[in-house]
Amino acid sequence: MGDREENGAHGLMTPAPWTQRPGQQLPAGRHGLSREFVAQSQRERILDALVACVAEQGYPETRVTDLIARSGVSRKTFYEHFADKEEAFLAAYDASVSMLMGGVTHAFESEDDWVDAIRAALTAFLGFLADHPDLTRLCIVDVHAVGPRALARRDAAVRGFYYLLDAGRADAPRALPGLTAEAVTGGMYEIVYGRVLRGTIDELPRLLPELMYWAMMPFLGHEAAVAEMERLRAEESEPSHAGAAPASATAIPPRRSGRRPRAATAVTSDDGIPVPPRRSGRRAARR
Amino acid sequence: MQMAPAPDNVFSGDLEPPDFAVVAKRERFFAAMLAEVGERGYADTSVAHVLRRAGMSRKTFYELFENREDCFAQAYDATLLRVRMLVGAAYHQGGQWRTLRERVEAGLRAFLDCCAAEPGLARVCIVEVLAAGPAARERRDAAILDFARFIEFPREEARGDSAPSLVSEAIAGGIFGILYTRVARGETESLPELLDELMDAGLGQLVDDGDA
Repeated sequence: MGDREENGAHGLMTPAPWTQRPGQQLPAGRHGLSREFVAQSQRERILDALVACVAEQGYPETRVTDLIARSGVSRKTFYEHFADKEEAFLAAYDASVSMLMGGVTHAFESEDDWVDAIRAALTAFLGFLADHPDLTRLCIVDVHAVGPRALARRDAAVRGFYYLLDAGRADAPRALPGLTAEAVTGGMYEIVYGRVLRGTIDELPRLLPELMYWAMMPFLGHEAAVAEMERLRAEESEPSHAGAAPASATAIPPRRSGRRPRAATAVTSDDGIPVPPRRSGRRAARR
Repeated sequence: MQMAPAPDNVFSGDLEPPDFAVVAKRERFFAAMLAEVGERGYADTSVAHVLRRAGMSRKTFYELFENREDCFAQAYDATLLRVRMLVGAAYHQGGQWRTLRERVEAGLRAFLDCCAAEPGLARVCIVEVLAAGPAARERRDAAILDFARFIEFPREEARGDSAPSLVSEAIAGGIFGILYTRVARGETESLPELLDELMDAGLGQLVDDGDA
């Protein structure tokens, strides 16, 4: 506990969004701060420490001693807030997920059209993850190593996204199987999981066009989903970025054909020639 | 229990035959590890549990593996290799005589049947692997990409490249996510019933090759 003073200067601690003053300790001794304020600050510091420790060494290797040393609270204080490290983890998980869900839901609700709403929600989702890599790691990877209580929460959190997608059933050209939202969500989860493992969380926002294709494909069919994707790619490569940013800097090799991206709504190409729908506009084949 | 080492003069030259005594020992550890993790979860499985179940010594264990994580990762690899061979065989059977959709469906069916036949093993390879440390996680990630390749080729054939290849990873992940939930709930044995719905939830659309 000798490193109490030094705690704020760790530099390694990425501030979690629930903290106003990351890692900062309140002045010792008498101060006019209310008991609630002090407790809140201690709790935040413990959660910050947990996020940082889990990011660095993984949940199984994180000990309560680490959390105490890093947060600068006393052992007694730690146990006043949390029964064990699992409870601290669950608290950090819940806080992270509510922030993420809050942002995503807000983005979704701010659009009227379902496709626009999903695009907004997905943008918010990917942006949050890229902005908070440590929280992402905790919520996506480490949650699996904590135990049944954490798994139940993960399950509930993932389910929380289904309704956003299920709202699109009305627009679908055909009756969709019940698993659709689950499959789409599972695919997103996997993409994020893979990027976390490979240390490329920051590329997530750039995957928006491809992930929009993935989310829209079952609901709107292949052609409409491709149109949406290509529109987003075109939008992405246009903005004022001086450097010639690639249309999509994914881990996946670029499309081989040099086909020009076309806007979703435009039925003509740049030179006025009508662009025929791909493959005669066939919807999902049935047999 | 000591098995004599294979005599040196059976094969000449640099081509060493595999040491089957070692192979057998590894397999015993693999089986014990998978069974223990299936019963008590990775977090609560110790090397001691594995030793007791395998009836082998600690010394032998550490001759073959660095630690618990290493043993688990290798056991996972060995299991996945078998599953992949079954899926591959089902997928390629019949070759070009079958449509892409039929091939993908056959592969998926083989995979679901595999899981249903051995629910304990499915639990280990689908649920517990995510709790078994970085080495195991990386292998699982590689396995997902590997299965994604089954989807990638037919998808390219069917769609040209208008569908992004990220989608193959997403499809594999989507299927994985659905299995994960079912297996965690203990509904592994009914997985094969999901086949039609899984094909219908998007996979089928992607591998339909216009000519049907």
